[in-house]
Amino acid sequence: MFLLAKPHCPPAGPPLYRQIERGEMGTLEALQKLSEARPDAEEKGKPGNSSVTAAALWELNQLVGLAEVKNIVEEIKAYIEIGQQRAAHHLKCEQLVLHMIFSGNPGTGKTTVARLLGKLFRGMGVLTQGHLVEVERADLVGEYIGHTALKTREQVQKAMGGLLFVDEAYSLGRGGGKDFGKEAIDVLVKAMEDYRHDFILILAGYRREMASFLKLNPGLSSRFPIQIDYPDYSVTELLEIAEMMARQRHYCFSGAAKEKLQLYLAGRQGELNFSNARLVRNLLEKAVRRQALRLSRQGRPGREELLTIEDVDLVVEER
Amino acid sequence: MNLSVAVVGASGAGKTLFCINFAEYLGAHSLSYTEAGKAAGRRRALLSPAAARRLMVEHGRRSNGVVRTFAVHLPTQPYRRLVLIDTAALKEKSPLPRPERSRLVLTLQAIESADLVLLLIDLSCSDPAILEFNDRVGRYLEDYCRQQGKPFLIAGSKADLLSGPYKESHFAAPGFSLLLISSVTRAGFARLKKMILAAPFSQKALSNDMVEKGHGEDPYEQGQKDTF
Repeated sequence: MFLLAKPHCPPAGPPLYRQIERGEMGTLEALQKLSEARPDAEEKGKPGNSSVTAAALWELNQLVGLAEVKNIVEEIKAYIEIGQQRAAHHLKCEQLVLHMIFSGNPGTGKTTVARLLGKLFRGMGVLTQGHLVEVERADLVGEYIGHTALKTREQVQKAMGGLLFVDEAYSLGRGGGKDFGKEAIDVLVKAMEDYRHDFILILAGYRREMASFLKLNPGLSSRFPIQIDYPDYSVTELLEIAEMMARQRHYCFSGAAKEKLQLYLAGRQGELNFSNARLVRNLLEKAVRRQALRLSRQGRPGREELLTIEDVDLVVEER
Repeated sequence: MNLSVAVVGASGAGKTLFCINFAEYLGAHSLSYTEAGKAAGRRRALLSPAAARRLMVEHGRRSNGVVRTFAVHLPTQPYRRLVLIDTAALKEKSPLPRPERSRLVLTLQAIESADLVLLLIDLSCSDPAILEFNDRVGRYLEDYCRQQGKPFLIAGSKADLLSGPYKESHFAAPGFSLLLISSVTRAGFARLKKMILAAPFSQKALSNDMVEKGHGEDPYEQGQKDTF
């Protein structure tokens, strides 16, 4: 069968195209402008939009490591797709409960993944908004009796249609029986039952602390069907992340800088609360500032020099 | 279901030959193509790859400034197509002459509508101005694609013309990894096919089927890597 290719429509007249047609910008300016344009919020915002799902999935797959998260997302996506096919055959398809626990060291991608899951679930039509409400103990726990329930309910309301991400959730279990943190947990547990399909609760925190928090609250663990452990990144993965972060900022590492970074990361890995990608990001940001200072003292640097981070720019603490 | 790939690059990067030969490599015996451009108007035709090469690539036949879409029916899956959008060459002129403006608009539209963007870089080119132009185009496109969640690939074309081993200086953008291909020898096509078919919007089952069955051997993967 012969099908014709989709023809290109003439420009609908977005300002960028009009500026090009008027000769106000060349190729590079136009591409720069295109690269600065934000995605169409209205189009991207529609729940059940498959292009949003595909884009968020691609973004997730671009993240280094995180095999467990990627597998779970694949499973959920498949379940939803099969659910739609079952519905077409008048078969029952229960909505999944997707409350989650994320445990892992800092900088392992917990918050990044939560943000992406919001987009993804909105794209799949699981959530109506897909926004992320990020809270910590101080946002949930009040100062007097009754205040905690009020504050926690307020955050749950904000998260309706999206995700409520409780960072360092184990801190809610600190302070013993008289602490208001316990009350916050009770309110959250009730909300996750009452509005199980209206929002997704994610409790996140460091691995060891989360394990003892869940041990102290035995009923809690079983209410979270998805529990994901974020392992520390390997040195190779961290180098890959560093190169990706540098490339996104239009920088690159010289060979010597890469070696220095590799040695430093290998030395730091395995430390308690090793901050993984966050450490890499901080190192890069510091290096970028140092490179700017070095180049500003040097006169007029060339393009290559402006792009390259040398080993002298990388400030690593002596251990 | 379509998977559309916008093939972009500077003039002489080998976009048209790549589109035709890659389509042929995927098993297409005939190419349905649409041409759009102010000079060309809108044309549609069905051609064999050999005829397409004669018409569009051979000496004196090049017609810059049109955007062509080649539709390849993937032979293992009826009604599924890979659409290769052969865009108009990107040119570094500011301000752009009048005919170039509408070509650029057509190219940008193709980039925006595609599921995947593939930038072709001519590896045989050593002109520093063009290398820098390619570098900047690559960075802007990468930024754009990252924001849109769109896959972006860079392929170094004409790898068969490299006399010595491939050097970083063949592409002035440090930090990027290039996939080396040759449209003439079809080196690198198998890897490129895997990468393209793994992109979102393509059907997973379809990709696996295509990758497993394959369409011809790839010299790149048979130890010819060192010749680049």
